[in-house]
Amino acid sequence: MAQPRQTLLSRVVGRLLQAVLVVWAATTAAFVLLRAAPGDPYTTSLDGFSVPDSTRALWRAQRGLDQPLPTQYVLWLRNAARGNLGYSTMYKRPVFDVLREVLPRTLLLMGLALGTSILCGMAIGAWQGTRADTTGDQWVSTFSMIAYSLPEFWLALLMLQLFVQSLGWFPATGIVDATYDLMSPGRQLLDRLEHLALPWFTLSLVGTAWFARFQRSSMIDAWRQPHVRTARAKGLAGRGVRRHAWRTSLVPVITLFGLLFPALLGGAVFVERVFSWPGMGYTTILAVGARDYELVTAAVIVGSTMTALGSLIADGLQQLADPRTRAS
Amino acid sequence: MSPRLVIPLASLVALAAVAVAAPWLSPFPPNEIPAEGIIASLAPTLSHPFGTDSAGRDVLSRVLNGARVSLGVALLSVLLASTVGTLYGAASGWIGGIIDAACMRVLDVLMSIPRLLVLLCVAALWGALPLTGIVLLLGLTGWYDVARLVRADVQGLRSREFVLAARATGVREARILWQHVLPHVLPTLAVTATLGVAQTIAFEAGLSYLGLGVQPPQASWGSILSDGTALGIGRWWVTVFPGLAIVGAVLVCNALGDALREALAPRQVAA
Repeated sequence: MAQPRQTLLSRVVGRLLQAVLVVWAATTAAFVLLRAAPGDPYTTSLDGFSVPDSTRALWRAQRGLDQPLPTQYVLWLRNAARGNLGYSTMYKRPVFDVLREVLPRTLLLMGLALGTSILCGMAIGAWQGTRADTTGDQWVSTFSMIAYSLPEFWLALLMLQLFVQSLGWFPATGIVDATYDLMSPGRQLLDRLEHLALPWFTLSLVGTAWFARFQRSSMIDAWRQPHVRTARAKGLAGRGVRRHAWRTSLVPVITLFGLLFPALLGGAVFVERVFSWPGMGYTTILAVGARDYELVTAAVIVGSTMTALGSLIADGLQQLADPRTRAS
Repeated sequence: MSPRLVIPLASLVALAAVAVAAPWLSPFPPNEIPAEGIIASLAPTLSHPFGTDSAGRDVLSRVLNGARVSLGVALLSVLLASTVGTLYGAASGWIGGIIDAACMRVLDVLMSIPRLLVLLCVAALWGALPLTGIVLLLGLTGWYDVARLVRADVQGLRSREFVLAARATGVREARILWQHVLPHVLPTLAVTATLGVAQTIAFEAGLSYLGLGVQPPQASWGSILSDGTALGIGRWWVTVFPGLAIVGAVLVCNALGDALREALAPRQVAA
């Protein structure tokens, strides 16, 4: 630890560079994969079959799709470096504008779900860890095992059928009601929450089970650590011991954060689809179906950036929580 | 053996038996739309305990036969993923050096692309995939974890005394790896494969639900579900029963994976 600051800085820069490289490679793979597939955005566009082939050829030429693949790639890369991610053939708008509209919706949903999962999961898991193998712990373990095994899309479907279609407690789809603009500010907030409730709950339930399972086993390990045992032997009781053990148990749980990020992203795709939540996941499903090359490529950039970011954050948090990982 | 191991194992065997015996167990043909006297969207009755779907097919028969497809696809893909992952991981960890570093960077890239995105792209762009295609797709996108864990194990075992001893007595490298090192990786493999089956069942169901996996009229647990949502207010039985089958199978595999981890205690597999 002679020059901790410099070491940390170079480490962070190194990791960032690696993340950028990884995202670039993933994007290139997506670029090639998409264009290797049969068809293009204009083979079956929504404009119908009446469009003559000459017009389609013109469209392709306009978007540079008649160029050889390497030329297209260089062109795309040059534009991307300038912050221009291309043009969405499905929305007939620049990809960047589409992202700016749909990405915040997904981030809101994921952020809320992630926060809820971490808070509830850690609390439940830590509670279980301090009383491992009691009846209460076994019941909670059984429940979290079941919740952990629920596929998000099925849970979302159940919620939809029960609370929307049968009971009518929540609005079905979208983020706000059609009459949103006419509502009072208080009613507007309520309307947003009503639309958010089911997707949020669905994603959070599975995430909470994830965290709780991991926190539990980590807490059990921590409970057996010498320093916790010493603290208990010296007569420290209740909250004091739990705080000691909890801090130790955090280190492995933090690594889960990096894993949960992409998992939540995958879950969000299904949940958004079922609840017609017009976020990144729902848009991606539509874009893939429409062969909207540049929008799908952008989705891959977003997805792999989030994954890389997740592991970066997990790395950083781990070094904060456990000084031993700082020295390399 | 502890009940925590026996119960899920027995359940899995029972599930597999049901899947194998499905054609004889199911009261109605699962995929053909009945020609006459169609009773579409019938709520559960005695003759149709799980009701019928929008085409008048018996949901129970479809769920039973769907088990064949869903479990079969999951098992085969995990088998493929385990094979590819073990080969890649073992080679990388055994050779070491710059090749190992390069292999791991490639793995970093592959793992950074969200799997669901790859599945969506391939399944949607190449259109209706046959079952073989689905197995290949799920298998070839599911081996990264296996490779990482096997590589870590092999790397740890590489410099152990029994390997040195084998090498000193003149055993060929490939034989050392195959006969002396890989058997030690089996516990890791068993746990990851079991948990992998659980994950793959869910993935296949999700893809088929989106209409991108197993194609209608063939029944898989996911494709039965997609019929329940296309037209359905209140037709809960088309959603609930195949869904319970998915959750049951995933739960059994997860429980078995946990129990195996406890029993075999491989060092590398995290919860």
